[in-house]
Amino acid sequence: MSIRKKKRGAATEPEELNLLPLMSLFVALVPALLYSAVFVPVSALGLDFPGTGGAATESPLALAVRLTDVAYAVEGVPDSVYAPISRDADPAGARTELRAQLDGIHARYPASGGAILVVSPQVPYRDVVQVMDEVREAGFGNSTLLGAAE
Amino acid sequence: MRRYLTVTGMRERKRRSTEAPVIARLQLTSLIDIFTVLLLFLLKSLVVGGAVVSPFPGVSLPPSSSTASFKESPVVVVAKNQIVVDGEAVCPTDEVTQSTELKVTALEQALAAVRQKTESLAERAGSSRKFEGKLILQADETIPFHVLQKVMYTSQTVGFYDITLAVIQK
Repeated sequence: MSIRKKKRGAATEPEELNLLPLMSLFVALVPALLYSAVFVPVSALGLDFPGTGGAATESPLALAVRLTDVAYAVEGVPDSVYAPISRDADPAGARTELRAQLDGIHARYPASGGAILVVSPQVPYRDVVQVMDEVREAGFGNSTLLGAAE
Repeated sequence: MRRYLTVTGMRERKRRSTEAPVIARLQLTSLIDIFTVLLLFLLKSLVVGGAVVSPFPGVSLPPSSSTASFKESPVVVVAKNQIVVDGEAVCPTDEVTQSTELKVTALEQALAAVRQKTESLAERAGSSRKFEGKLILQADETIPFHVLQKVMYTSQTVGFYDITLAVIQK
């Protein structure tokens, strides 16, 4: 009776998994993934240059967005004149208004691509990227940057 | 007392000799748990295809909705205090800010050296790949546009026509 009990006990003893191969795999994978991991997601923003054959050069519409320290102004749309949008008091609201104008232009000229950004010298880089985003999201693609005279 | 110890010692020795040899096993389960979590986290932040670009220390990149990836290219950093080409400081940013010239001579020389190095490496390796003129520009979000304009103009004079801006994904 006691032998039978002992045998039954030995049979139910859990077998240990051999985790060493899995550990080896993890030890190889972790440094490889650490090397190619990005903790701050940095992405690329395309840019066209005047005379290098960008979308704005080939577009039938010569859309230009003038960006100064105090306002946005959309130019180059046939038969339309847009009033400058002041961005002094409410920059976010001004961007929304600019986006609405750009959306309207893209709806009228869906085949057009690219826009020329004419930027004043003292405008911070962050503001330039914001306008480039609005232009891209409205469907015009990459922007061409031009420096405005002081 | 002495006799008792001797007997106990003998018994102990006898017991040890009859027992199976002790094999020390590592308890790896908790370590495997840590590795599994770490692996999932790293897989989430993995970049597949395209070059990995890390922001230069001290440079606050502007946020953007763009999600495009980079191609392997030299990196020009316009930080608040200095301009850096491929990890080497080239000139102070103040110097570029105050300059009335569009061309930045120190930057031009550094980029020309980068181009020459790239071309000679490709030639030595017998590669048919031409110099593509690609450049990644990392600039602090507070830098005024005229500084960037000078940097971009100088880059173009050396042949870097395909400039990509580095931005932080929103």
